[in-house]
Amino acid sequence: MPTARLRLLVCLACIAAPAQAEAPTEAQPFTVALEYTAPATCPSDGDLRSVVARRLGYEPFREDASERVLVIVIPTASGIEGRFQWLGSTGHASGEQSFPAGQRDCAELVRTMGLALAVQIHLLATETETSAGLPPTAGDAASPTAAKPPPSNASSSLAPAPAEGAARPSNSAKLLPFVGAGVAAGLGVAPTVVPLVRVFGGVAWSHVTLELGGELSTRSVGERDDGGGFAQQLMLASFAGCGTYARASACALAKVGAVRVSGRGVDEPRSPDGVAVELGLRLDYRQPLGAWGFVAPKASVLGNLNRWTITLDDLSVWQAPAVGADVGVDVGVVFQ
Amino acid sequence: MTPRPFRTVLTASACFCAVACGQTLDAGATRPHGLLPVDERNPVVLMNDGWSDNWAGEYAVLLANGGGPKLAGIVVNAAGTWSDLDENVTGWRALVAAARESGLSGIPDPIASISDKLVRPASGVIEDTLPNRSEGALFILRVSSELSRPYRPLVVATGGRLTDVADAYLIEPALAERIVVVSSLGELSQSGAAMGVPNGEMDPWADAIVSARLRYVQVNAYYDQLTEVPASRLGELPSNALGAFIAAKQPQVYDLDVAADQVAVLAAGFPAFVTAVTRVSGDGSVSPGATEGPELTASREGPAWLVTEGASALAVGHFWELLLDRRTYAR
Repeated sequence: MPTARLRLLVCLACIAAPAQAEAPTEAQPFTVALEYTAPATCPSDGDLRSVVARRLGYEPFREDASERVLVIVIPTASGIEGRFQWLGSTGHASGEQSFPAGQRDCAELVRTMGLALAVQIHLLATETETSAGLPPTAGDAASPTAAKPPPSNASSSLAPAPAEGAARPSNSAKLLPFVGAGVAAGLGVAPTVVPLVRVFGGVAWSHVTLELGGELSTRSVGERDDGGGFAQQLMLASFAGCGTYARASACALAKVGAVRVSGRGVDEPRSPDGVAVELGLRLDYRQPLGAWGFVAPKASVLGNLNRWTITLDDLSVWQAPAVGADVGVDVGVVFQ
Repeated sequence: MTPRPFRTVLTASACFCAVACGQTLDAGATRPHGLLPVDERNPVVLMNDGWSDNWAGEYAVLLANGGGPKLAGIVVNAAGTWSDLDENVTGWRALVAAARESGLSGIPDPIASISDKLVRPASGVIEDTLPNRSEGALFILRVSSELSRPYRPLVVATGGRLTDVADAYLIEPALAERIVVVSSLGELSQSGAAMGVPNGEMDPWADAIVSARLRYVQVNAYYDQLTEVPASRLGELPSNALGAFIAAKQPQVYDLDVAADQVAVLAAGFPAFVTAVTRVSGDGSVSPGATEGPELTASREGPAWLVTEGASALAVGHFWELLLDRRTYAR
């Protein structure tokens, strides 16, 4: 029941938040810019600010703050739905939280959202103090549970999208498994530009992602002017270790696998197999798709450690170049 | 200090490289379709003198339009009985015109090549020979550069003296990697074959150069070439310009087996024709004033090939098949 879940959320938020958290006393208190959008029948912007300020013990909202939070209440077919989204100083989305659809009492929903928002502001303030070398506030010490993320049973997604890696308040250290598939165009790995398909899976946490994958190329053909030639296909396993910042990742990439070659148009065709070993770098940019999905354009540059040479009639007809590349796009889901 | 994971990756990569770097993947090879090192896939330059004593030209243009080798050139020279170069070239042009008018494609204009026979130097060393730099020699050099591949060299199918081929070698010795000479020349002997009559007697020093320096196939599978177009079959000839040309030429074809220069074209472009081959080697020398080229001696490891038998009936059957097949004229 949405109402029961909301009540649970409110309870957990109240437990998590300090009963009367004090405003940070050192230096400047943590502030955030608020953008509030709601139907006219809902509580006003001021009501929301009031809920948060009462919970925190100080007014955290300032228009010139570097951090922004968007609080949105929208009507749905079954009632109303709430959501807020954190935006970093560069404007990129760094975390969001949804509140279940189906509610009809907007006042209750806004109150719940206000309490949850107070918790997150408090956590951010604590994090900021810690990173600045300031001791935690009394509220933090008294309430260790405040360091935990808000309950997830309200479709919480306070952790930044896994692709972003950059932790907002919350579960930045949480392991987030993901799987996906992709297509790419490979250059320098075959006699022609060759389509590649791949599947992959891995885990992401904080600013690091580890990924294992497998990829397969279509058969590419090289031909001599007499019609003799060969077909080549690649089957590779890949491993990537990535550092992430916001939605972008830079990865060290290794691929190992088989090169399958078969002669064509010659009197005695042969089908030898070889080994491909490639090392390189990959850049990708993950764009969230809904709550769980993502799409990620990517580009890789790879060095061929073992440049294989294909021969016909004992004469070289093609040699893998020292450097190859691929450009493509992945899609996947993150299990949160 | 290098981070441990990075060192591990480097070590693993080095291990892979140690076993796999520079690997060669052999996708296969071509093999000749018959007993000789060339077949119908090798481009051919036809080299001859007279146009009317045999059917070499007719086979060349028909095979070029019927699954045989591409005809890359026709080089016409003059020697012996066929010493009038103008007359020779005129006859070959008539064949080319008839073939084209009938619908055959890929038939090149003949090239006239003026050259005297090569002179053996006093040193007896092949490379000391003065080249003629004839038109035919220069043409062979150019076409072989364009068309020859290591796996598919250019064939020079000769039905006359070997002067222009030897001349081309003297100009550019690297030619040896680009061509195979297939010649209707000489006759079988007790020990192998002689590079004498027919055609070998006209330039013995050129014979010595070709047999010593180039990949050489001597075709001595002569046959009665009057069986090709007997008078009784003139009525079967196609009613086109080529059929008319053949009908007009038929009475002039020599009733002499060794005049059947088409055996060189058949050996190169119709592998089924060649039924027996012996490897031979020549000593590469002829004495001053010699009247024929070196003797080719049967040798298991010999560098040259000697075609001793041919399936003439099969060749004649194929000749008529191509001649009467409408598809021959529609390519």
